Amino acid sequence: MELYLKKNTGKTTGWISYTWSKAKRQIDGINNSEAYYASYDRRHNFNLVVLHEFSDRYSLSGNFVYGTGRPIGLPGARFEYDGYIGAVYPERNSVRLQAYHRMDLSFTITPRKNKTRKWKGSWNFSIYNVYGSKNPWTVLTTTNKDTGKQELTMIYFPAPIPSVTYNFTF
Amino acid sequence: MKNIIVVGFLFMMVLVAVSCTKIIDVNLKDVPQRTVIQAEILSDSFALVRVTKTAPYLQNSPTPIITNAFIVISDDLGSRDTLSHIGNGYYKGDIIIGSSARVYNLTVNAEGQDYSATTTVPAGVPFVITGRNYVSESEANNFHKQGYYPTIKTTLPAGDTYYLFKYYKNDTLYVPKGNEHDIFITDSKFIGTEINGYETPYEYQVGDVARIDIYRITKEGFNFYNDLSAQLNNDGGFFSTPPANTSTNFSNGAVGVFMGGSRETESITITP
Repeated sequence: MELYLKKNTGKTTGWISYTWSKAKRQIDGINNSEAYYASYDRRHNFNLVVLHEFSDRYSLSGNFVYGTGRPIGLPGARFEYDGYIGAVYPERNSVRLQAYHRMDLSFTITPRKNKTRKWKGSWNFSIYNVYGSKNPWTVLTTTNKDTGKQELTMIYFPAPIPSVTYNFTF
Repeated sequence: MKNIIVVGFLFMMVLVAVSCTKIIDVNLKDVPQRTVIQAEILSDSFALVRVTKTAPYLQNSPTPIITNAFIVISDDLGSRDTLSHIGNGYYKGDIIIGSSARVYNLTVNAEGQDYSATTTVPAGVPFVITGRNYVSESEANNFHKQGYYPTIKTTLPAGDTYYLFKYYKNDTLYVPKGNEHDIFITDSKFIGTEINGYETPYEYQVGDVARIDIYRITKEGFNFYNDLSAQLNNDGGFFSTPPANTSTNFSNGAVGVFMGGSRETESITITP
């Protein structure tokens, strides 16, 4: 199910969208041939995009995304065998990662037109993941080298991340 | 033309390079406790079985051992051998000796549940240690450290055959730090039949006694260790296969494998 609302007139434009979806897979021989949530299953997905033009030269835009965490396969039990530590998994993709959410902001400056130049350019200053949400990329099962204990290690991208872009057209 | 300065690709590369890790606490889905049976019968040896149980994945406690299981191994001639507990969950037979001519059936009764599996004992493959290669300090790198690497020679039988390698240094299983997840298995499809100059994966130094054990194992044993290796070395990344449970030849949901095999051993003392 998808809902979409858009404003495309005035100084402030943007849109809101919401998607409800369910993605399951059923493959003979996998997960006891029973259906399981696909890795890309995302129940709720919300997007908000807002662009405000202060003038012909300055504009600010931002977007916010929120999505249900994706399912991942993590073990429920461990066993010892021939000196190794193995794992017992419940049904496939049985654990859901934490929800994904972040906000990005972008400020664009368009210099006054220079008639001697053959191109028109603009500077864009943006910050990805403004409030530093620690969104998981994946989770690994690891063994603590000091204690020998099994652990779950989340890998995530550090944030916020600024960037500067110069765009031009000719 | 617009947005020529597309930094997305470089951006992603930088992100991957500097991504962070954090130990997290997740409510893992419970799985019912299962019996784990590590069982083998090797050529010219009595059966050896260890019976334990699974433990919650993040619980920092030893896996429970079962010391009162009733275990019987029998062969296709009708011989029976009841295994005795010898400590730490291990059980050993004292009648039936592994032979490549026989088919073996193992039954385990543990905590009221019955488990059974069948195996054969593939004939062993003799080999020789032909010498050792030396890697000098200037030739050494992270994957090939300075030291001596014994080499072997053998001819494997035709057909689908399966092997497990174990390496010892001075009579102790040789597992260098950081290599705890290494399992050395192969099959004849991958390695071929003529083996000459195959090096040990780890280095030895002068004075060390290097011992190499080559087990010819059953397909079921190979599959189990192959699955276990896949679990241990799964990095969870985009290119990793989804994690899966190890295969088994036991009935009734036990974890583990009843593996027949033959072990050949050779050793060499490293000299300059």
